Amino acid sequence: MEKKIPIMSLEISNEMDVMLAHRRGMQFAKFSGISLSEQTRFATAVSEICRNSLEYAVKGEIFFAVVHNPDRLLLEAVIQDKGKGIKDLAEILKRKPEQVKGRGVGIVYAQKLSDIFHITSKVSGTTVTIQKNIPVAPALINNLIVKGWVAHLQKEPAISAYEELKIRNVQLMELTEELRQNSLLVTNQMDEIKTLNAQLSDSNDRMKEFTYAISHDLKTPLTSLKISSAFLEENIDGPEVPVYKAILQRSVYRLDKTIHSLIEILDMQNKDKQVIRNIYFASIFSEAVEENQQNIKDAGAIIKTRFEASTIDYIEIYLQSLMHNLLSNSLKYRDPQRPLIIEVDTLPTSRGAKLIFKDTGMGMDLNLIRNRLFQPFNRFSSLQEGKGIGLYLVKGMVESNGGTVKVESTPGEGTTFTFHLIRY
Amino acid sequence: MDINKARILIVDDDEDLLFLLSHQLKIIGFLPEVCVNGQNFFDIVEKFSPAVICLDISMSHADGTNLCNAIKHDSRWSSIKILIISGNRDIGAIAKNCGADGFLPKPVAIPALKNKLDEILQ
Repeated sequence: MEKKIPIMSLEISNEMDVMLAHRRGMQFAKFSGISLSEQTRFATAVSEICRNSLEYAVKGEIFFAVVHNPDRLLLEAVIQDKGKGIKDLAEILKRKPEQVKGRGVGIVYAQKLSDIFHITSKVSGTTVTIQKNIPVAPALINNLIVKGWVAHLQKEPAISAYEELKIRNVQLMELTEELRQNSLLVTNQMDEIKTLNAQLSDSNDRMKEFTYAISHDLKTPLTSLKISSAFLEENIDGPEVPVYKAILQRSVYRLDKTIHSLIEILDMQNKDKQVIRNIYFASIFSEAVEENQQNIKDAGAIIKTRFEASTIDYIEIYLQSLMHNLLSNSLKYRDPQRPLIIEVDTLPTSRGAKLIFKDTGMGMDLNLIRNRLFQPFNRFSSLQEGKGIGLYLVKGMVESNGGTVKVESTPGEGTTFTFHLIRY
Repeated sequence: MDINKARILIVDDDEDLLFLLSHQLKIIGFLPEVCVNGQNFFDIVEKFSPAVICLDISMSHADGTNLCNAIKHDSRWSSIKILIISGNRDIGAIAKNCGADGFLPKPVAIPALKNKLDEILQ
């Protein structure tokens, strides 16, 4: 049984590589214990074939190995290329060196210089095997020994300026690749940082907006409280006293409302309460109707529903808040001159449901207030008392998983909110 | 005491606060007028011809900084002083940007308001 111990391989892509292959051929032959003249024969055969590969196939590859045959030991070089092959190979091999030209010269010489020579050539490439007898006992050359040769070559100083350049080139290429990978990583990280930054800046803006709104809604009643209490401290009687008392009470009530709104916001953000359920629009809406029953009665509101999408997987507390806020807004901002009709429709969509909430209330001039509509603590009528965070909350909840809110409104006609709810 | 009879226009969207400020200013000797939510602002300015306008920034139907800019850029009204009264934390910068003559953060106390008005009217 033949056993092969690979030594090393080299790529042959230019003249300097051919020289290197020759040099390695010499060295391996020497390491194997082959005589100097036979070393030269082997190395010359190797370089002839390598030069052919370079010349006729642009590039090739050489594999050095030690072959254990049952009866002898051989040093082997296999040179492969992916050229177009040699057409008249059989012809060439029959000739004498002095009769051939071109590629044939090298092959014929190499054959003569080798102990064993094989060549196969197809249109997809040529493979040449050159073998030289090793005149030592097979047991003396094993895997370990061969590894030692290669290790020795790695330890030896560069055999030529070219080889050194080549080693450096490989190192540079590795380094370039590493840098490229690093730069890719950095680019990705930068993108990630940019996204996070945008998110942070967005939430910072929202926080800022929110803080302003809170400070406005706290500080205005606080001013009233301060002035009216100072006045009432000094004035027990007088025509203005009841007015001041009423204002003081209202201020306290408004502060209380604002604080409750803040608590509600904190509650909404409480992860424990964000339970996802399969929710029936009909039942969640009837809960909101229940809560607002008295106001519905007082307003004489007519409510029409059509839940074509009957359910959605959603955070229950969000949908409860949404329905409650929309309904109470419609009731609050109704037009006293006209009957209030509220229509609630749902339609199935690929990602969840579309919810349309339409009323015949006072309506709003969106050109004036669009920018502030979904901001916290904005009330759009000084006649009505409201906690002013409803739409702010609703928008935040719907958008938190990619949903959208759209509003259309005409003063004196009514308002329509359209939500694209994305199922969880 | 010319200063104490100065005409003061108060602009805010909170009707309770408008009542309180105007009543208190009257008590301490000014001549106040109110403008609810910035509505009919320029008509009131024209008719009332105030010496000072106490102006809120965030109103539901108007933006105080716009009103301030409009007054400051109109030659008829260039002598009118503007005092920004707001709960906004950036009140100083906002007042400076819109060319106001002074600012007072909410919650406002009457003695502080009086001092500020006296200062502006000097």
